[in-house]
Amino acid sequence: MIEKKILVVEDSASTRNLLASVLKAQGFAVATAGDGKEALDIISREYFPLVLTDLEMPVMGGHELIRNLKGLDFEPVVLVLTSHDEIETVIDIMKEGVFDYVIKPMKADDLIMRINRALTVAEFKKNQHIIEKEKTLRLEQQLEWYRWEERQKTRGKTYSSQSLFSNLRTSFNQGAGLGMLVTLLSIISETAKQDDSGSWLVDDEIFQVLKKNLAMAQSVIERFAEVEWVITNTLPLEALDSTEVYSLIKDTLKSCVPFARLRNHVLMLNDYRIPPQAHVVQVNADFLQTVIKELVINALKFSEKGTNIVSMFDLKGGIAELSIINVPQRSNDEILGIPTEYENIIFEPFFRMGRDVHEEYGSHDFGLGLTLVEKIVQKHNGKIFMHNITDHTDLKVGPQTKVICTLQLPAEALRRT
Amino acid sequence: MTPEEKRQFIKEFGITAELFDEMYAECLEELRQRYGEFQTALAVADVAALRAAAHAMKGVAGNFRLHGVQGAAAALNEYLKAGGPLSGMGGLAEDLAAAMEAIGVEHQ
Repeated sequence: MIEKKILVVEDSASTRNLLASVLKAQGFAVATAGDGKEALDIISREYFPLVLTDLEMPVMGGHELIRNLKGLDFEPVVLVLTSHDEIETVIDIMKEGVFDYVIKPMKADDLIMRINRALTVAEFKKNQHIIEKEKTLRLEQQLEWYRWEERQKTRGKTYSSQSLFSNLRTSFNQGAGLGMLVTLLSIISETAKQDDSGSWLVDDEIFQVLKKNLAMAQSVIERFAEVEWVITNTLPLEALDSTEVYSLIKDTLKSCVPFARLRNHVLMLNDYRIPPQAHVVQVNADFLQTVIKELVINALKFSEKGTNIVSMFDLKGGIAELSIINVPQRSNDEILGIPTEYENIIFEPFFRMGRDVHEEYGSHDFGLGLTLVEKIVQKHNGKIFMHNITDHTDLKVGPQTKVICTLQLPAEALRRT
Repeated sequence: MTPEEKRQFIKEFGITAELFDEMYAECLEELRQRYGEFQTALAVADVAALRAAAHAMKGVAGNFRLHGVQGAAAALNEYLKAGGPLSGMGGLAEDLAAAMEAIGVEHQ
């Protein structure tokens, strides 16, 4: 989650102190600077997601500060505080790429509302930047992976088939559903007694557990059938405008809010502006919702308590892309997120990163959810990736591992008539 | 600032009365300093410095709801921005002086 940290840049000492006091009272961490130069000096040592700046200042004014911030590795979101209320000045400010402006005299409620909005945008902006930075690194790592896989193949065995069988074996022995069912049946066959009429007497407690596991096993079989259906059938697709796809994502996220509340997670989605040119995406709305819900629930299950699950939807060069970023928690098996060696096998049937069970999310924990997701995405001619990324922005905490899941679907630009 | 205005301000910004008194004193000191800069600029007919001082006074006074000073400084700023001659701004300068006097900041 992004820090509620603000750098206030204002030459008027009384206004600066008033702002600092008000923001601190609202729970923000505040640093102050008397001019743009001082602000740049502070920013060179510490990351601030948000800079709240005056325009008219000695030494270095707000305009020059904003221009300097543009070249930074992690560019903060800028909110301008000004006494200039002329429309031309406001337009000029916005042209400089600032997020918003507050006209003096400031009103406390309005200021806090704009700051909270700006911090939300800062979170999206930061994640977007991390993704871009990771791209080069990922290409290198991907190449390494292919080389490694090639080496394995030349030794006469493929890693994927090996892992599939090993995962099948472990998944069926993980203490829930099918594994437990086999154990229970063994217990019954060994302990059940026959009465005079020839009927078998089974301990009630064992019988209740058997019933519960039967239900689990049935639902796993249903999930098998679902995966099989997707593999063997053609999904009926319909053309949805990119804004409709965005609405579908938004609605699906809303349906996941009760699950997010279980461990105080917050689901966030960026604002999607209508693109200058309309694009359509061929989708099966029901199945796409299944995919998004599965990915969000997956992110919730494996995230640190109380963190944000950030979703970003955008159109990029003929691709409609949804990225879901979460802060992973270390599993009981001491695994953090998705280490590189697991990236290519997480969509395989029965593959599970850890043995933790998450019944509260209504999931099977049999390692079939992502398999279904991948199959549905393939039927949409899309791609899906899931891997760790590193957030270097918090200098106090140090590099932080996050998990990003990227879903890409082909989008077609509509010709203007 | 009336006691009621002070109470409203404290409530709006969620600060203590002690903190308000401290910041209000700081505000008055800053206005006194800016007004000094204004008078110096006026004496040497430095229009840019006059505008800068009036602009700053408008902002500081506005934040602390000192509407008299805010209005008078804003009127001066507008007049100077529109290119009005210094010889014609006597009345506006007097308004600012009166507004400053009303909040207890004397002429230098």
